[in-house]
Amino acid sequence: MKGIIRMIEHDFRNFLRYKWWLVGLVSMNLADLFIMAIIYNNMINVEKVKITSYFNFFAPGLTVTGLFASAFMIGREINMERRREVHHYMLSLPMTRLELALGRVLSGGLRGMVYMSPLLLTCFLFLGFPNVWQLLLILAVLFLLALGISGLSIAIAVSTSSLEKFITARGLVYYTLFFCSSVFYPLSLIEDLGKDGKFPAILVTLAELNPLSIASDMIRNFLLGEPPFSYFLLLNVLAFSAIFTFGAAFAYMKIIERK
Amino acid sequence: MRAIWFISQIALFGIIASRMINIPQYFQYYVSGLSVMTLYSAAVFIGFDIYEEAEHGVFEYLLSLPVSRRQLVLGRSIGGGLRSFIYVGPLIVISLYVIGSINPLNFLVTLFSLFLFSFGVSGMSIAIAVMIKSSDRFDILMGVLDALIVRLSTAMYPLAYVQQANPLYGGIASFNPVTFAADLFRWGTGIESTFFTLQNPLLPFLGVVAFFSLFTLLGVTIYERMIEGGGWQ
Amino acid sequence: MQQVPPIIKIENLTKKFGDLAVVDHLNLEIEEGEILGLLGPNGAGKTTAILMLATVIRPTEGTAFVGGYNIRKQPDKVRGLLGIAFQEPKMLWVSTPWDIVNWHAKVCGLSTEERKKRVKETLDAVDMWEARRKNVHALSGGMRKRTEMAKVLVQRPKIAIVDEPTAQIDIVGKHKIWNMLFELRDEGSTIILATNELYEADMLSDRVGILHKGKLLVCDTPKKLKDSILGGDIIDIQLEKDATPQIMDDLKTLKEVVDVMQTKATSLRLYLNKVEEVVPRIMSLFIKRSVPIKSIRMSEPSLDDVFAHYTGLTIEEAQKNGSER
Repeated sequence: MKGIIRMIEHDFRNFLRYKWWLVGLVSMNLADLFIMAIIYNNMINVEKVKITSYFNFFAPGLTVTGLFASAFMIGREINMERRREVHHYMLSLPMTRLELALGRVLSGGLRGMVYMSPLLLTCFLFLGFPNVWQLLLILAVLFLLALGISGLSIAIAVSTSSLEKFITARGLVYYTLFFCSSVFYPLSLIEDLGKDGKFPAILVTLAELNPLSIASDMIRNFLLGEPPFSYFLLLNVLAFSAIFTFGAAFAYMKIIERK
Repeated sequence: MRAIWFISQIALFGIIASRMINIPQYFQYYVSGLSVMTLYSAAVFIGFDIYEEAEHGVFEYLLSLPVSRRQLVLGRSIGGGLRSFIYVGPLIVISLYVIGSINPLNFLVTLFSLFLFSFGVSGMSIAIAVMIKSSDRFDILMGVLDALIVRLSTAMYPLAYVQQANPLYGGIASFNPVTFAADLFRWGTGIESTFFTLQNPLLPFLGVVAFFSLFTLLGVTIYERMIEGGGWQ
Repeated sequence: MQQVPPIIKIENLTKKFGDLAVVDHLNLEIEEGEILGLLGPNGAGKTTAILMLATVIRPTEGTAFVGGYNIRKQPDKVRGLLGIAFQEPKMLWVSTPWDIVNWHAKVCGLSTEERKKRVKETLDAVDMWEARRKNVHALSGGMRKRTEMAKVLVQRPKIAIVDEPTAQIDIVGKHKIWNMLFELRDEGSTIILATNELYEADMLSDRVGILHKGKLLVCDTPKKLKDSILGGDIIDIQLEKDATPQIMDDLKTLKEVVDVMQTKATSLRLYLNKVEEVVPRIMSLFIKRSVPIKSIRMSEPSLDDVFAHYTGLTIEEAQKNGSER
């Protein structure tokens, strides 16, 4: 347990050192909400998408994107450690491999939660606060999502040996999950495009199953009353989180010891 | 990574978002703006290279060469702009394919403007890098600038909507070099709509020229005055 | 009297990458409280051997027992006893020396009070206190190396492994670190020192193990290693008058003397062993024969000579071959 705490402390400290990246991300997120979303308000086809305020629609999505971007960052650091053989130091520490691996996954997820919190608060300030149970469920789901994202990022980082392969793999996964979700637009729009044959069916399915979509729509349902939401979908987030948390921990333990 | 971002923006965000937007030909509009956004972010990179060189001591070597400071900075500025242009070239070709139309003569003027735009951005990046001399602060400032410059422009939406949302935003967007470049790109590719037909391309063209001139001059002046003496953090 | 078991026992430890045996059936015992030097050129297998002991990489064959724990079966317990300062400093560029050493001390279980005291003392001792808040990317190679060393020094582990501890450090810094390693040993740590610096190995080590192409060629005290070279010690004697054949015959009768050469009429060169024991007898001989001595110069073989004796190459030549390997 102590080892896990130490790893979380280590990764949090490094997270705060990437000031430039954090400021860039915060600027981009705030600019998206207070500039882009406001301008898009007047551009939306209200009849087609049934959104009266794009700003309100986007705010929960922004929370999820912030969580996604910050939880995903741990993979980049782990890949850099591997390339520079800094992981040798990690492997030499007086803690078990499981503590080391779980510590990394947990810290990635927690970093995402910490970064996302002000965005979630902003969302509540503009859209209204949920009740206690809804709030607890939102936090629980976002935490599970953050763990899964962190795990996914770590799994990519330890699976690729060269920088080029890592950047390519990371980019593909990141942007596909990012844009193929209901973060920026309603899921119904993607489904309509699929029905019209203008969007591949596999991507439509991905968007429907994407835990980013589920988390965004859940928050929207609680704060705005729509879109319709089924609690059954949360099993998806749970499965995503479980698979990538433990999968990544296992992969991290096995792969970084290899030479 | 930038190429993956570009393609995913076109293939995913562009297609889906254009369904949501109440503007005809929004997809083509967005793709053209995306090309300019990508060119901007590629041209800014020269500033990061300067910090890399300062860190590894390459800078001192460059300063020791039998080349005047002015030639050095002009070379960096033009080189940075050219490099970004070559890098983004294939992505612009993809954009043209997706947009599906082009007015050849107009597009030549557009290309020339984009050259000047990218040189201007490189010059701006160099000027800021040399003024700040701190890689952390430079990274932060460029991150903030990137977020604001792109969103407060017509890269993603027509000026009328920006002004409607907030007159201040509209004011900034009107004088934003990214706006000039994006509007000229659309004019060059012949994208027409009641929402964003460029009445007079001369104005944005002069805007790009002014931007290029200002930041090239600024870059040269600041570089010559501040480049020696170390102090890089 | 009961013999104390070695603190580290290495049995047939091997690491192969494909067909290449980087560490080839290493067998070695390390006594508690000693400084064992592993000497060899780059590519000899020192770092790989160390990484296996630290359970960072897995052996292909063989095993080792560190403090009684098997590195294959009980790696967590092994790591509890070890502290390692790597050849290349292992740190992210955004960290600071204070962060690195302080966090390392926390992970190694130091109490808050003890940690605060030791971190300051250690960073002071390696001259990194002033620079403790600078990012790693702003530090010179020597400063990073000192920070790397500080991790082991703050930890004071039962077994300290230091891989080229004074590379990239100036001579004053080297002496400081050497003194700190002696202090660490005096406080009860066993130290494994991997180095390709002959003087460092000679000066610090109680015993030196010479590694070449993954194999341990020999392991003994520096003195015994030097004495193992027949005729390795050299005495140059300058006489007041010409040397006589009789004096040369007399010198050859001494059993430690391997060869005598007359380089000039009044100069003799003796190749021998255990020079410090033989010099008084040589002096007596010259006095007995009434041959006045103008000057005497003595030299011992270096570890480079020892390395050359066992491998046929100087360490520099072996380094070139190692890089090709």
